[in-house]
Amino acid sequence: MNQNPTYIILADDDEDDRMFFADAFKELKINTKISLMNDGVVLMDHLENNDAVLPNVIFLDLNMPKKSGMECLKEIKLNPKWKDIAIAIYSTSASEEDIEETFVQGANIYIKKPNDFKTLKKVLEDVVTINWQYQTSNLNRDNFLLRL
Amino acid sequence: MYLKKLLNSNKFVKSVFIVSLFVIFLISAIAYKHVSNVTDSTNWVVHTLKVKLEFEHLISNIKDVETEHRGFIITGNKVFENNFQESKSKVIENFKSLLKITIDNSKQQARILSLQKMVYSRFKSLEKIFEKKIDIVDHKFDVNYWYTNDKNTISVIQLKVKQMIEVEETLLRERQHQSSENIAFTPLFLYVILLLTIGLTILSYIKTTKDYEEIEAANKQLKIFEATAKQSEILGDFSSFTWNLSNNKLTYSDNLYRILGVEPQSFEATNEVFLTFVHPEDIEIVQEIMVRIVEDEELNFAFFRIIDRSGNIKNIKTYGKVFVAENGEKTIIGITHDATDEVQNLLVLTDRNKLLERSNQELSAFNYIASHDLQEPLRKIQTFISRFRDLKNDSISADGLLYLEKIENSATRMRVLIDDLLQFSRMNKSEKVHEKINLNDVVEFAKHELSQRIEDEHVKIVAQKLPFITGIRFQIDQLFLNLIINAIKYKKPNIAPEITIKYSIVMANDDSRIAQTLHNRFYKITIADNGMGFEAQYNEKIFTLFNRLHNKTDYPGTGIGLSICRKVIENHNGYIFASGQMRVGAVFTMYLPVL
Repeated sequence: MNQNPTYIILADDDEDDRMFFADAFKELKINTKISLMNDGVVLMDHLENNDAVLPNVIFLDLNMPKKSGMECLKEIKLNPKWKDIAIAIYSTSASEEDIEETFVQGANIYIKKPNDFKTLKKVLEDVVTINWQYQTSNLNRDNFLLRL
Repeated sequence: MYLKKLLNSNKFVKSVFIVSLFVIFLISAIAYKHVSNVTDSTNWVVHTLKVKLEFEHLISNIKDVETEHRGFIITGNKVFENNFQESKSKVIENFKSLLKITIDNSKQQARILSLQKMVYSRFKSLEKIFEKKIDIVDHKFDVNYWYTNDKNTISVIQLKVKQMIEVEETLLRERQHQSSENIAFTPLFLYVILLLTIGLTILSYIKTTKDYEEIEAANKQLKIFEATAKQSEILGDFSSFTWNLSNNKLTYSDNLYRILGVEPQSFEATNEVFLTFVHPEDIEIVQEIMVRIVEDEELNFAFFRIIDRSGNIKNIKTYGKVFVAENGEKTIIGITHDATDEVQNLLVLTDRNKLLERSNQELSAFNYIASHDLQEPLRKIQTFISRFRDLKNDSISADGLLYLEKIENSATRMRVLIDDLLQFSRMNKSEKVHEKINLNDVVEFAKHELSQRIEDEHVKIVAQKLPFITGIRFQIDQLFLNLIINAIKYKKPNIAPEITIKYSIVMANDDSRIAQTLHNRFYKITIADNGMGFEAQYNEKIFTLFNRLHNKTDYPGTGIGLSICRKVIENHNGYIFASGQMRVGAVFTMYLPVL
């Protein structure tokens, strides 16, 4: 395990969710580095900072003030320098429209926030250990929404 | 058939008229001819009598000549010679007159001339006595010579004259006979022609009467039609106008005046007067209409406003077309419609649509709240509960653990409720994509979704090969999933559930519960189970939202599942019925139209 840690950013305005997220990774024995962003604006400012190390995966909450997850997704996918970042949508709702639109906009996976902590840990572990290369090349609508 | 056609034609009356006219001419000609014939024959009688009389005068005068001659012989008196000469000149006159009146008859003329010759030579021989101055007494022989031997004696002359009179009489008789024949034939001929004329006149009278009756009936029909048109104009707020392009004359129907708010036919219809009613902002539109209608000979729907006499603004819709009469006269026939109500309704409808849109927006906002905002705190409650459970259990009392479990159950139930409600509201969505759906795939999908439970509870699903239908995929999936879940959920204790799915094609009128709508062929799909069933009285009730037949503890559920099924079936113009039998099972029958 001498690999570099997987760098993960979560952008979520909900304090509790950020806490669950951080706690889950604390308990998981995965080599990760976690950054928590309070909303979309903070996330985009961080990414645009030239010194910033680009993350491997961004978990994006959709419903955020100032700049929504959908807006962040569009901006990220428009900029070629962020093309290697995997985007995981991380939302309370799993409405058809949201799933459809984020898929069209190029998100890699859609996660509905789980209802208990055990599931949350399992989901996060699965997502982080996915071979993104493989996942992206086989991306389709059926496996876009992460089923548990 | 041909005759009937002839009788019905207008030409018939015309020809009868011409024939009658001709017959009257003929009759008058014949009558004239007849009268002139009668006059002719009378003339002939007069003429013959005249000739006869003249001949008789002649005879008498010749006799006078003879008598005077004899007198002279006997007496030698000069007086007789004078009388002789006088009578002789009378005879000459008689001949002249005879020749004159028989000028048309050459035979008679020849006879008269020969007689004249004979008489004149007799006179010559008689006159000798005056020239010779012989002693009459001594010339007895001469007397004999004059009165017995002379072949020109009076008796011979008389005989000739008699013959000639006879000739005249024969001629008269012939003429009278001929003309009487003519006269006898004429009345019959006239009578026949008259009868024919009367016949024709009667025929044409009948025809004219019949035509008149037909016109009368047509007229009546037309009046009824006109009245109907007027009434329907009032009812439908319609009115009409005609505009004769040849003489520029306009007529407005009564209702057009009413729409303008004035008494019907209270002013003479002209474009100028009409323009005074038009809304000031629309005058140009109407003026353009008036020009265009004449140029194009047609007017597509045009809209403008008028202000009626009472000051009400009315929206008028008008349409017109040129009608060309047989004589080439062009008349624009226009229909105008008072569309004020329509426009008002449209406004109201637009308002209501806006309202509906707003409430739809509110509904989807609510959906969003339900799906997102309500779930979020709930999810946190659940997550915190799970974190709480993970704490070292010895710090929580047994009661505390029980309460925690109760909280957890309630939170779970609330999640199910929210999820089900959300699903139910998703069935109401307006944008629906209909696609071809293989029902076998749908059953496979359900089996896949429920694979764990099927395995755990040894569920047996027997499905016949099912057809393709047209519908909304996720809804049909949900429909089958819910029904199969129900069949598994309400199984008999300790008996493995068995679910049988069958289908057939039926006609709408085979089942009285199906109204014959646009579709008359249906797929009848049944999903039957061997579960605990339910009483028949609940056949209908179980589809009602939030309606449950069992308590929550034994059979957790929200009472939304079957409501979703019914919603889906209704969205697909189908029907769903349930029939339960306690301790035997339940059968769900669905009818989906064959498209």
